[in-house]
Amino acid sequence: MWNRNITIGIFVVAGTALFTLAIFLIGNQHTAFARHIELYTEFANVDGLAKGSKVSVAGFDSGEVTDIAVPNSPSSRFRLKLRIEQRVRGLVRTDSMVTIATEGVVGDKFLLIHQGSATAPEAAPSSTLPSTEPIDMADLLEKSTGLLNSASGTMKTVADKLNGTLDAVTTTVDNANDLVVGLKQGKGTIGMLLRDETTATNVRQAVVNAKQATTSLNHASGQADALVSDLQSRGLGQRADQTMSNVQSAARNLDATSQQLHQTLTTALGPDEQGVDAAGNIQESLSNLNQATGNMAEDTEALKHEFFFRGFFKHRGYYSLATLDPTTYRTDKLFTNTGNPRAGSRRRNSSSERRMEAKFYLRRERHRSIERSPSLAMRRSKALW
Amino acid sequence: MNETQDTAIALDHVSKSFGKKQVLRDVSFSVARGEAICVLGRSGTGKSVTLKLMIALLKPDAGRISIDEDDITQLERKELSRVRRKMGFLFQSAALFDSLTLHDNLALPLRRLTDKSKQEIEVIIDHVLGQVGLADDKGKMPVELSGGMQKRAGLARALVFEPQILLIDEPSSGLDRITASEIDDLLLEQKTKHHTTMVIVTHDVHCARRVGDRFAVLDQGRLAALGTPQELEHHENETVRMLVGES
Amino acid sequence: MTLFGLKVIANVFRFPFELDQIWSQMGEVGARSLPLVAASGLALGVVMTLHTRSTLVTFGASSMIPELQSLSFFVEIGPLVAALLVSGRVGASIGAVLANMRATEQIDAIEALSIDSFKFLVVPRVVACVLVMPLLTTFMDFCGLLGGFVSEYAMSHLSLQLYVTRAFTGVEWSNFIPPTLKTAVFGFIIGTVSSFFGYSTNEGAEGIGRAATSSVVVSSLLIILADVILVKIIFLVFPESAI
Repeated sequence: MWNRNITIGIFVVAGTALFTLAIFLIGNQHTAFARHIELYTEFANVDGLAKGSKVSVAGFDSGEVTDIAVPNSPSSRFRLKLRIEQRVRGLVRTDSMVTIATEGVVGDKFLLIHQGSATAPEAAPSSTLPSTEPIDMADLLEKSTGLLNSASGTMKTVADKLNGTLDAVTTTVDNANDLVVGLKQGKGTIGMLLRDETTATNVRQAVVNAKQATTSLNHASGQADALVSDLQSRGLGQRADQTMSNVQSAARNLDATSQQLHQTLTTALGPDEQGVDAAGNIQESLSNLNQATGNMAEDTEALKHEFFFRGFFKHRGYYSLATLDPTTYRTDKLFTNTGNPRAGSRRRNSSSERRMEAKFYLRRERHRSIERSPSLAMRRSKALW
Repeated sequence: MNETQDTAIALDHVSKSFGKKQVLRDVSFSVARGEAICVLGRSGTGKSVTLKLMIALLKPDAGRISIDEDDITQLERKELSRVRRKMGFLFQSAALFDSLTLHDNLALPLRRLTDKSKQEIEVIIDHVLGQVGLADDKGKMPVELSGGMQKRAGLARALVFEPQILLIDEPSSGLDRITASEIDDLLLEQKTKHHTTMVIVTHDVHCARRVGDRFAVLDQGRLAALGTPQELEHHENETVRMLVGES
Repeated sequence: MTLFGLKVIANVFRFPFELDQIWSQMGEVGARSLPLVAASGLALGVVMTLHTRSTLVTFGASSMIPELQSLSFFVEIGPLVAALLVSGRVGASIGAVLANMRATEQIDAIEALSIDSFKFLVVPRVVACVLVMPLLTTFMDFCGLLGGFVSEYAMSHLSLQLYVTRAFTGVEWSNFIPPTLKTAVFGFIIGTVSSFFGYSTNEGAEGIGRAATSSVVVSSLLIILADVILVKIIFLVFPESAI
């Protein structure tokens, strides 16, 4: 009898002890029995955290989220009550940043309290720790879209500038054209000046410069294209910024080039300091004039057929040297008009500009469609990572 | 002394059936105080059932059963318990609790139904076991006891409350003649010393003649005869004569 | 049988409480079932780990073996297997003992002694089963973990401390307490069903075997059915326990 009682007693006591042990071990995992302090933190977005989510201090599991108070207006934030073990208190300072982290690749969300700085005081119980909102994919996308929009704006500015430059080039070419016609008729100081080989070379150089400017214009436009596609494919803010500054510097270069062109032409067309000496040489150089004029005409002709200008000339209409009759030319209303209409504001609506605008409009549309379609956006943002 | 005071047990038109099988049909007889009645009958004629009805282990389908003045068929459990305290029952198979020692078998009802102290209980157990001659075997388990010892132990358990009425089911079944007569001696001793009213169900006419004052003979669920052995020897019913007659 | 169960419940809280009987039945049901339960737990623990190991190693998740082991034992294997083992051992024994007592008139004898046989024989057995099942389940759980550890130690020499830490990592209280306590219901089923068959048999020696068999069959079946319902209820009450 006594023996049996002992057996039963041992059985019951051991069973109860094991039961308690299991409860204790499980509780220990949730640090239910350690000494705790309570802290608070606030998030506008809790990113899927729930009551009971783990709290880790500098990577060391040391508590859990015990309560999440839901805000009653969008302006306030979720208030999270955290229970962390007393022993990690030394790591938690008033400037300890709280972030929401993910365990592994597909794991649970948990709160990560970063170590504070040694100089800051320990966070007092029930104090509220500062927090960093979780990076939201949607936010990120919105930001990059904004960036693209601003890039788009900048591009427009660049396009405007390019157009301005183009107009300047057009003017220059027009001027050169006029000059050539004047020269053919052997009129004016300018014609006299152009008889001079140097001046002719200058003019030629100017045309070459204009060609170069055109090329770099093309290049710049190509670069802008690449930039935009680059932006689209990467969407990284910093790179976008850098690219934008590249675009701006390209535009600046373009400006500089066209200014140089202007200057060159001004030099060529304006009164020369050495005019007198040059006039002395004019007679000697007259034999060269015809040849130079011929070259000039050929150059101009070439300009008319050069692919970039071709459209422009075609659109505006031009005099063909082969069919030009001096009387017709002189009485042409374009030429006789005192305010040179070819440099006027009407030119701004040139077809090339329209083309340019159409291009950017298309791009903008494409960005918008990215914004509109979240799945596409997600796929894109995933591809980004 | 009027009749009611003198009657210990009274069966009044008692019928009992199990399913379709009618075991007792309209049985009426009474047992006087201090009297020993032997219930005789062929197997399956309801002798044991009669005994179990008397202590309310079974309830009759019809009729009344009175112990002293209480109709036990109508009693609540608590009242019944009071009536049962006056009675002892010796089962055919002794029905000792085989998970308990002999001592505990006897101690169990004393512990549960009285507020006697441990010492008092020990005294009673020793006394009762002494009566049946098992004083040295109280630490044994029932399986360690022989059939006769088990019977005596069962009797001892039936005696712990010093009952006024003893109901005994087949005291000599499965026992040799000598052992059976030892049991008979014990029963006689009870009867003479304590004037215990007894109802003994038995096949053993030898035993019945030694202990019983009167015989009740059951045949096919009916009370076939009631009377002293001498009266019944010349009973008109042949079955009765055969059962009562000394073989 | 339902009436029988209700009668048990009604009688549990009625005086006298039969504490002695409950205690000794706890020995009968509990302490004497312990070797069986513990041995089965150990063996199952080893086998489980062998199985999960081969699967988890494929995914490089062998560090999850202890967690899987503890969760499967705490949540389902421990409670259910312990209950089935006990229904086999104890259910048969209760059924047979009571049927034997009925056949040898011991139950009548108890009644004749003015003792309420139902309260004296049935209620303590049921109560003992109810009390003992959670304890046996806890033993089963721990033996399963021990078996798992032994098997894991043989394979990878994992330290006991790390094993225990990992084993309890993903376990919530709701993964342990409700499943363990639900075995009290299993205990009630075992006690009630086998007492019912034992107590109400009336066929003599032949009925004893039948009572024992019926006790085991019916209580095992009812345990599994009850488990379905109980698991559903636990998930409802403790949603976080659903793994």
